[in-house]
Amino acid sequence: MATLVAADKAEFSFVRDTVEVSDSVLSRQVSTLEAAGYVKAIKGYVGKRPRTWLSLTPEGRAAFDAHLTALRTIAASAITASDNQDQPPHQDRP
Amino acid sequence: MDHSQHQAEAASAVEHADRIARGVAERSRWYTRFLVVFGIGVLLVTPLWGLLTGGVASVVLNIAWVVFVIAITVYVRRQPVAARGMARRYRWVIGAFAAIYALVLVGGFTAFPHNPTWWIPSGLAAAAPFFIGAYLEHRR
Repeated sequence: MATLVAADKAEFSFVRDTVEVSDSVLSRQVSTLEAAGYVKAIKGYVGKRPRTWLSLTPEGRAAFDAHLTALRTIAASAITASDNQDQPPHQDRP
Repeated sequence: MDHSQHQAEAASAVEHADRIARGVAERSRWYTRFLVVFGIGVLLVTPLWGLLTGGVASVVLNIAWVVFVIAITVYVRRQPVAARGMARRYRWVIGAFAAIYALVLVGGFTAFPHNPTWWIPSGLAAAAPFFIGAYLEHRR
C-alpha cells in the first residue's frame, strides 16, 4: 500500500519489484486488500501483453494515511523523548 | 516489547514508506519527458499547419503528426507507474492546450491565413501548457 499511496496507479510487476515479494505473495495481498475494499485491480493489455494495474480506493488511501500518521506520531515521540533527555536538568534555585 | 522498541519500529516503517514514495516519484519522471516532447511537437507542428499551403508537404506533415501521436501514446501506455495526482494535473495541461489551440486555429485560419507573425508565436502559445506543466513537474 505504501507504493500505491504515492501513485494514481501502478503496474503489478512494478509493485512486486518495489516491495521485493514474489508474484504469488503479492497476488494474495492484493486479493485480501481487494476484499477489504482498499485496492482496485484492473486487467488490460499493452499490445499483446496482459497487464494488471493496481490502485488504492479512497477508503484504502484514508486507511493508509491514518496508519502512517499514527506511525509518524509514535516515531516523533521517540525524537521528542531523546531531545528532552539531552536537556540539562531544570534547576529551581540558583 | 518496550516502548522504545515500538518507536524504533515505527520510525523504520515510516522511513521505508518514504523511501518507496521517493522511488515512485523517481520512476514517474517519464511524465516530465513526455510533456517536453509533446510540447516540442506542438511547437513545431502548429506553425507548419498554418503556414503550409497544401500539397505534398501538408500530407507529409499530417502523416508525421499521426505517427508522432501514436509513438508518444505507446510510450505512455508502457510506463509502469503514474505518480499521485498525475492524471488530474494532465487534465489541466490538456485543457489549457485545447483552449489555446482552438483560439489559435480559429483566429489563424479566419484572420491570419499563412501569416508567420501569427502562426510562429501561436506555436509557442499552444506549446506553453506542456512546457509549464513540465517545469512544475520537474520542481515537484
